[in-house]
Amino acid sequence: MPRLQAHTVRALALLVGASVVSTVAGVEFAQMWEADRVLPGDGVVRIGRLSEYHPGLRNTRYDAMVYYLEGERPGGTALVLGGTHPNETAGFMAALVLVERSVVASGRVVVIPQACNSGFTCTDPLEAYPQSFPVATASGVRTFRYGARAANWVDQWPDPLVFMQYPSNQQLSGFETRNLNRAYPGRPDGTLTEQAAFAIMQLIRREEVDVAIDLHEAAPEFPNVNAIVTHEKGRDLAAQAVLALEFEDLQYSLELSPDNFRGLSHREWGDRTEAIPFLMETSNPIQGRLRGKTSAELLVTGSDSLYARAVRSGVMRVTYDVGGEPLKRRVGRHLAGILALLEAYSATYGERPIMLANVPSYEEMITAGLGAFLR
Amino acid sequence: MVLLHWTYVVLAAVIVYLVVRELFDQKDWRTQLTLALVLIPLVLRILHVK
Repeated sequence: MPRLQAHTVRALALLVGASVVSTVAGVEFAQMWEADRVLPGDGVVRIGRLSEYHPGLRNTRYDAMVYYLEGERPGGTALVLGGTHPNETAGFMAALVLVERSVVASGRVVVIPQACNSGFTCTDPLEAYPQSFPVATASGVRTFRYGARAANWVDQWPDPLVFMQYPSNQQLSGFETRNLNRAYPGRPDGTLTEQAAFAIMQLIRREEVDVAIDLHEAAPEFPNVNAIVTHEKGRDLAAQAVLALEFEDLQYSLELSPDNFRGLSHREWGDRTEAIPFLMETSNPIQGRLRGKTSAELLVTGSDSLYARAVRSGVMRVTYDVGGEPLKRRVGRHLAGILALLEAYSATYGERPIMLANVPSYEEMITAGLGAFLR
Repeated sequence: MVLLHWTYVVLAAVIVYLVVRELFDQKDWRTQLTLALVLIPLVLRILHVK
């Protein structure tokens, strides 16, 4: 038997080593494919999927769960979207609180907690993001995934060099091709992201949605943090909501959706459906460029010494409380915003009220914590 | 887009083949180590894991 040369033995050993590393890394990545556990509450009357509105999504990771909450009294219909950007955790968690906790008194509320379902199966590269984070609840510690800003490359790959938004032909960076909030109105035969956007547009039309709310987060240095962004047809309602929130000592700025920036929920939902759209942002330090150690703890506590230093220096404008921007506060703000918008809508359109109950107030959320309102 | 996706996968597979061949041809251990490291993300991409 011929003796193997040293470099061949080394090559074989390195090949085995690469296989082991690939397997370990692969198993870790694949853990994110497992869906988060959602425990629907008494308010949920039906659970569906996005593919009911566009069958092309069936058997893909874009086929998000849809939860329908319905009251005994008739009224209008609201849509609440969390997880449009899966790394903006407060949106997903606020939607989850609605699914697990709230009941509808009048009208209907349709909730999609993980709208960009594919994006929950990976994290953004080179950011050192945690794959999951814990929340202590009455039923024990539950873990939820921290996803990427856009859909998983594995599901829609490769990105073009330049993303041409359909149908406007607006040009954006190539990676925006996987961004659900640039894909509206979408199209049935487009990329999977465009198909998901199309399905959401179909849902809004078929369910005759009156009010549609898209929940987001952003880095503390982002100028639209703690804002309600609205299409022009929702301007009065948003103003009413901002004033009502002011009485709860919650400050929101009111931003008008730019009509020349296409593909966004607050623009396309408003232009192409009967729904009145809103988008809300909270301040999430883990998304910021100034952040220090990136961990699940930072995601939950929102406490970062470098942002505190930036605030104290007064050199730059950041929306950051030196005590931190904890997840419970960000979820509390989203829930308070949803309630204020629905109250403003119900007061204005009295014949189609949408009334939610069992939703924790901002103060209750701060006092008891997020886990107290999950099952 | 689907065609482009599978073209990319086939290209990645061809590169893996070339890298493995080079791994066995090279005699310098540092180059061999670099080639082994290059293999890892390519394999994960072909398997649709990452």
